[in-house]
Amino acid sequence: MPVATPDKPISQAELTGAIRLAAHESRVATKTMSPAEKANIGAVANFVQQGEQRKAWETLATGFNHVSTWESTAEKQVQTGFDNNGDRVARDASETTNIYDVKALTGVYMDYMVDGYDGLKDTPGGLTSFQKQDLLRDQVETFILSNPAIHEALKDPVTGSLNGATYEGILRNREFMSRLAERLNGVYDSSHLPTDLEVKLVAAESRYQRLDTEIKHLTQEGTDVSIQYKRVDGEKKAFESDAYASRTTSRTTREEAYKTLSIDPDIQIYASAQQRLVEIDASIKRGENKFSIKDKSDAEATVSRTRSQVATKSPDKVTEFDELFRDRTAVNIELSEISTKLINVQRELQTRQGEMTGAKLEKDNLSLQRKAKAQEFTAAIKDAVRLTAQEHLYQRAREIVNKFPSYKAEVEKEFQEEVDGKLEAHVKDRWVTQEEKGKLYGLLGKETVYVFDRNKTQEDVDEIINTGDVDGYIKRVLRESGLKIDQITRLMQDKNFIKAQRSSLVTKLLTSHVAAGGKISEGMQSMLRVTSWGKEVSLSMLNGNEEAKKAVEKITGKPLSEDSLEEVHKKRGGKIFFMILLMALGAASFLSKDLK
Amino acid sequence: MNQNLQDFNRQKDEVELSLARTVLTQIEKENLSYSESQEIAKEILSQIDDIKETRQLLIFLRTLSQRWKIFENLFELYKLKMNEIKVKNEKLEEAKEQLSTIINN
Repeated sequence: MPVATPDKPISQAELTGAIRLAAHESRVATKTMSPAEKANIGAVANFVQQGEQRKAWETLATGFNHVSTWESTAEKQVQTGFDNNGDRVARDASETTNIYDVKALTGVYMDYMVDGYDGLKDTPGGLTSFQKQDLLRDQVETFILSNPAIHEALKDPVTGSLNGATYEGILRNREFMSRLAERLNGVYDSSHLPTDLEVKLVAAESRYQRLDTEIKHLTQEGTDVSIQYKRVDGEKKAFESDAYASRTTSRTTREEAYKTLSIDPDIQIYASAQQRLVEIDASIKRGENKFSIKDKSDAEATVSRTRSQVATKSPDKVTEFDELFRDRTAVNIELSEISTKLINVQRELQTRQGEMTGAKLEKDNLSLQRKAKAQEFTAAIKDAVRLTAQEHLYQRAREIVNKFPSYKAEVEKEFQEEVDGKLEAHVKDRWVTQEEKGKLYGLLGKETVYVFDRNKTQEDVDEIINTGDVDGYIKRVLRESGLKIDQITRLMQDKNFIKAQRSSLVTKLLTSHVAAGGKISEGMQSMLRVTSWGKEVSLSMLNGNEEAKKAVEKITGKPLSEDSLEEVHKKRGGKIFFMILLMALGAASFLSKDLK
Repeated sequence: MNQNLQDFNRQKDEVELSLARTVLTQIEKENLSYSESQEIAKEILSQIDDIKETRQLLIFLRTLSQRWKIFENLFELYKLKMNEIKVKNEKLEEAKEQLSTIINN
């Protein structure tokens, strides 16, 4: 499934801003805790109640913090798998791992689809709910870390690190779950392990095993036959070389005696007949068509006849020849048979080994196919979360970017109106007090009037002088005006707003203070001349009073600037400076008349 | 252990307790996620042992409040408290000086 991209190009800045908003929404959605996390917070609360703050922090920081434990073995986490202790174990990219991954991930995603992120349960004998959550978070994290633009947008602006709440926010999002479900269905349809491949692999493995067994048997048989061959070959060698006392010849071995007798003129005809009969028997036994049955019976008759002829002439030689011929023929026939058997076994073994090479190739090939399919499936499932997270965030970005200009303007307008309204209302009441006053000398009853309260204005003036922190003072006024903390935080980060408030708020305070009969102390005068915020305030005040401005420019001989008051102080001394300051403030000293 | 150190340690314990209560309250109100609370705990554990004096404690609170606005009120309260102590000490010193002047004259 292709990754959804915005309809129109989104600039990096827009994307960053939009994803930040989306991430903020995600973070907002992460306040709900899992049962285990609640249990941990309960333990923390107990420690707090017992005054064991250290234990409380440690429990909170490390409790159920399985992620950080595993982070120390991050390399091992690359492959999925958990040992009996619930820790992940390293696995190489073996077939088993991939099958394991498929099962683990499939199970986790199924559970996630059914139960949701917070509803994941421990599987008896399987993964715990934490392990399942971690698997899911890992996938989202991998996606975020692999995408620099999104990583930049989602990281914490203060710490620069990724927040676990970000992943959880995404995983808790219903829309995200719905998108993931759709994608996973596609993955299951297209990437599952084909049944025929499994069947073929099982058959190939079975054939391979059968051939392996047969080869083992043939090897054993070959070994046995070889032993037999050696034994008979030994007998043959003994016939040929062992000492022998021939009764009719001078020869000292049986072979020599046999050969001598077989060419002896007395029995040569009989010996030849015997030899021919053996050849005919052997040929027939081998299944050759060289000799017929008649040839055999003729040869037998010849043997019988020639033996009778030579027996009378040389009976001892015939008898000895018969013995030697019998023993020699028996050994040779046995040796020949064993040789044939050995050759057959070896030939069979070669055939089987050839078949086994083919079977192994087939098995390995199928196994590789299966492994590749499993890897493809695993990757597809893993990618599902990452791709869905990407799709989800881009979709959110597109929605936000599309409505951003009007949305932003509208929000900004509402915000400014709220700030201005609250601040104006608060400042109007901040330094005044109510008094009952008789109308027309009391003849017309009483009326409530509002007058500047010197005690109140003095309190604020003192705060600024004592702390020297005019921005802190502004922040306090904002808070007391009823604005929310996040609104105040935003305003305090707005340099233009702060600059405007320094002039506006402090000027209003000082004019109110003067109107209430208060004095501008030496400390305040000094601050107005020397500090950067004081100079800003002074310039603003002087700009608001043409008479004071002209006086300053006349004394300094220069256009009005932030340093003008300090120059006036240096040239004409504190008294003149103070008079100009009062002149600047005097324009507003009638404000009390307007107060209702 | 001298009196000042004892006072400071008691003050530090109180602040730490207030921080923990703030975290628990904000979690209960669902203004703070579990993950964020863990980050706060780690941050506090990494710094708390190095705080040996009032000024460091104030800076620590300010840093926390800048990062997590849930601590802003605590920081402001503590700052006010510190200011009160400072003013009281100044007045005490002033009174001592006046007394000294009267006695010497």
